[in-house]
Amino acid sequence: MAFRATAFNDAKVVEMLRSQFVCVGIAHNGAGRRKDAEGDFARKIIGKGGTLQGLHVINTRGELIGYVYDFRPESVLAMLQRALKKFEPVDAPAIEFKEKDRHFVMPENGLVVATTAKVLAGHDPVKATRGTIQYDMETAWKSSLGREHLWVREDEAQALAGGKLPRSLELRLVRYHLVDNTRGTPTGWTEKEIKKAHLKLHDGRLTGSVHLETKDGSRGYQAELLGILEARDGKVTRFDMVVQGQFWGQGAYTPGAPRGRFPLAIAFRLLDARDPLYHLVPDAVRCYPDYLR
Amino acid sequence: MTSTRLVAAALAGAACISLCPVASCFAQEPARAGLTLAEFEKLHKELQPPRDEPWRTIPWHVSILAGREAAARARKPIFVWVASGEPLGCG
Repeated sequence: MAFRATAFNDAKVVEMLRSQFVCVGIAHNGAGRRKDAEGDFARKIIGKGGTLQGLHVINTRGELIGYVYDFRPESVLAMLQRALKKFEPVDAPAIEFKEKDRHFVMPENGLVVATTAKVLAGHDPVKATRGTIQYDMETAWKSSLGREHLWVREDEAQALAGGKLPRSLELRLVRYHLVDNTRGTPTGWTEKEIKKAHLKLHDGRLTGSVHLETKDGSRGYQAELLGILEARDGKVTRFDMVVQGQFWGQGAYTPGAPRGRFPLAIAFRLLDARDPLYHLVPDAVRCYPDYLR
Repeated sequence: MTSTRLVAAALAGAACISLCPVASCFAQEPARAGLTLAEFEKLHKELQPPRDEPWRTIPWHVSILAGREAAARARKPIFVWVASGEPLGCG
C-alpha cells in the first residue's frame, strides 16, 4: 500500500503511466511461481533490478530498460523519463498461452467477491513529520484498507442461489478471509484454529459468529457477521456482508498491529465482472494450495 | 459481605438458576447481540474503497502476457510493478 500512498498518489506519475506506458502489477511469489508461459515471462524480469520487488520498465522481449525501488514520486518520475528516452519498440514473437497453470485459474462460472478490511481503532498516532514521505507511508500503514478477492466455485454459487451455504465456502471464507490484511499478506487460519464458526444462511440473511485463535493464543479474531444475499433466476446478484469484532496479534508479513485487542471490520461485496481487477488472483490462492478445496 | 448481602446474592443466584436458560447464565463469554442492520450498512459503506483513488485511474493489467500484447500493439514500454503479494490487491 506504500506505493499507492506515495508515488502512485502523484498526479505527474499517474499521468505519465496512463499516457506513455502499459502498466502491469504482479507478485514475484505469485506470477513468478506459475508453471506456464505467464510465469516464464515474469521470471525474465523478477530480480533483474537487484531485488525481488520494485518498479520496472521493460520492452516486449522482457529486457529491462528502467528500474527503481523508491517511493518518492520524483525518483519514480526520473526513472520513467530515463526509460522513455532509452525505449525503442522491438519485435518479439507472440507467446502461446493456452496451457495455464490450473492453480491460478479462476473457477469457471463462479463468483468473485471483493473483501476490504480495516482496523477501526488502536493504532498509535502517526509519529512522522507531516509533509514528509515517511508521514505519507506511516499514515497509509495505519489507515489502509486490506483488499482481497474471495473466489466462489460454480457449485457453491448455485448452492448460495438456492439458499444454502456450502461447508467448503464457509471454511474458505473463515480460514482465508477473516484475517487482518491491512498491512500486507496475512496468515490464514488452520482448521484447528477455528474454535467456533457458526454461520447460518436463512431467508437471504447470513448471520453468525466466529472465534479463531492460534494454539498459543498470540493471534485471534472474535467477531460477529451479518450478510445479505440475493439471487435471481438461479444466480447470486448480491453478496454483501460485514464482519466486525476484536482481533489480536499479527502474522509474519503483517507486523505493526496495534497492541492488544483492536477492532477489525471486514466488508464483502460481489464484484462486477467489468471491474478491471476482476481477474486478479487472490493472494490466498498463491499462499494456500488447498484454497479452492 | 454482610448477611443481608449474602442473602440477596443467594436469592439472585437461585432466581437465575430457576428462571434463566443455563447457557445464558453461566456462559464463559458475555452474550452478544450481533450486528444490527444499521451497523452493517454503516460499516459496509465505510469500508468501500474511495472511487477517486489516483492509482486506480491507471489501466492496470493483472497478466504480464496480456500487458505485453497490449504494449506490442501500442508500441509502448511496459511498466511492471512487482511486489511480495499481489500489488493490485493486498493491503
